[in-house]
Amino acid sequence: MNLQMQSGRIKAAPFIILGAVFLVYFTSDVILRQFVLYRAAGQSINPNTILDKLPAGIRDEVRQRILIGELKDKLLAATTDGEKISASIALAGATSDKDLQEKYAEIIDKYPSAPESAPAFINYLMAPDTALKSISIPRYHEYMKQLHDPELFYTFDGGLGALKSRKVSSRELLAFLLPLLELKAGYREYQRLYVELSELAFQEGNQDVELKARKLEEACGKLSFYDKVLAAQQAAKKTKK
Amino acid sequence: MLKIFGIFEITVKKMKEPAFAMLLVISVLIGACVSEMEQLSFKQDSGLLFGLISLEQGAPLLAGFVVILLMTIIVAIFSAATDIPKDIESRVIMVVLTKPVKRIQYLVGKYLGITAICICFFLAAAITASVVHWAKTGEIYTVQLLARQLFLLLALFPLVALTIMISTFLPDISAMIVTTAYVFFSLLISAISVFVDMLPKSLEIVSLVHVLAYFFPNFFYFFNSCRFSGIVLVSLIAYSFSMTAIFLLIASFQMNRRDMI
Repeated sequence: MNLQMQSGRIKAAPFIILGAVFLVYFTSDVILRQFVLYRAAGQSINPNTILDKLPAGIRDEVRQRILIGELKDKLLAATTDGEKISASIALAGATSDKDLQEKYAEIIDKYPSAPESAPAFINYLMAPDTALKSISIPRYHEYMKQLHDPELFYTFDGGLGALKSRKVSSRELLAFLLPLLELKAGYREYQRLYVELSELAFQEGNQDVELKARKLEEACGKLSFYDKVLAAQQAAKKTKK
Repeated sequence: MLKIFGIFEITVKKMKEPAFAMLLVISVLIGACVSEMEQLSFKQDSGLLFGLISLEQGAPLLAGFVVILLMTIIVAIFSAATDIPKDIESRVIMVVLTKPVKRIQYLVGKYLGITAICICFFLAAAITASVVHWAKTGEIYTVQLLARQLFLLLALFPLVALTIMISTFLPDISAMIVTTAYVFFSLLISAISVFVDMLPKSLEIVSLVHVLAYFFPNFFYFFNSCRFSGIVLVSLIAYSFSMTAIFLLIASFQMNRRDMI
């Protein structure tokens, strides 16, 4: 019995040694690999510098795959709803137009009030019947009620652009911009929206709206641009600290 | 242990052969020629090599010693690839194995002998380079700088084991060719595997390349600069010796199942 056990131990010894050797090999390789990657990051090695040396045909294909991979990583790492929305839109956009349209529709259903859903709402604002979804102007206004600047300006501006590209009537354009009259604009950027509103009101013969829009347009002309306001806010925060 | 030393002694005695003596003289001459070469450095536009080999911290690597290492690698491949196949062909191995010497002892003795020959070549060239450098410039290399150059020898240990392993499967010339091809392929796979590590994790090729990379030693690790007391140096030593052990274990397995007649 003892002899049997002894011979079993002798037979098992090479496998134990082999296992230990492989363990040391893998562990040391992991440490050295991490060291190389850490150093490479310190030297700001970018895969793009290496990709630039590839032939153009392969390079574009590889770049596209890398971009999709990076966006997938970003999506996996996203923790807030906003990050998830932004990452999923970017990923769908990099994949195909069809995917992007589907993602926009999904985002409207899933996150109907998130500020980051704005590109999806803009995309489907007054979209034709053939589209996956269509957002009416009142529904769009409803969504905008939850937004603050700069997203609010972005949704007004983006929405106006989308409506113009769909060649909607000036009456509908006017209806879209009307909430601007109730708004207290904080930046110079709004001025061009008021110019647009006053012109549309003039076209439609709505003097009341035109007059109000002109006044707000003038008031906006005295305001600073958004970047300057932001810089002033940050400077004020710094001095407070 | 004595038996291993016996095989080791027989192997090292080859240094007396005219061909090896000539090679030793050549290595000394190369050592003298490369003594004035500067620090090894890569520019940003060197691409992946710049990322793979980091030289900006710790003791620098001298280009002359890298040349000496390359020369020693040639000697290592030449001697390790031919030694065992020659012994088998000339039946010397039968004479040795009829004595109470196990095949593993023969293999380890051969490995240690060839490694010792290679170290002799490296040290001869390195000492010449240092002395010529001192004679020409009046500067003596610091202990830290010399130690860094000697760590290059860590790359030699697995390389000799690898060549011996391949020589247990193939005849001498084929072993030399296959070893050289394997080393070049290792460099390529190592570079690709580090490159894909810089890519996003979601790419499916990452895991596949990593699995493949474990079958090939990463010789780039031996050229990175590092602190002498850190975990990196310990890992480097562990990496070198574990790889050596793996190659020798495979060689031992092949020697035990191989028919020597």
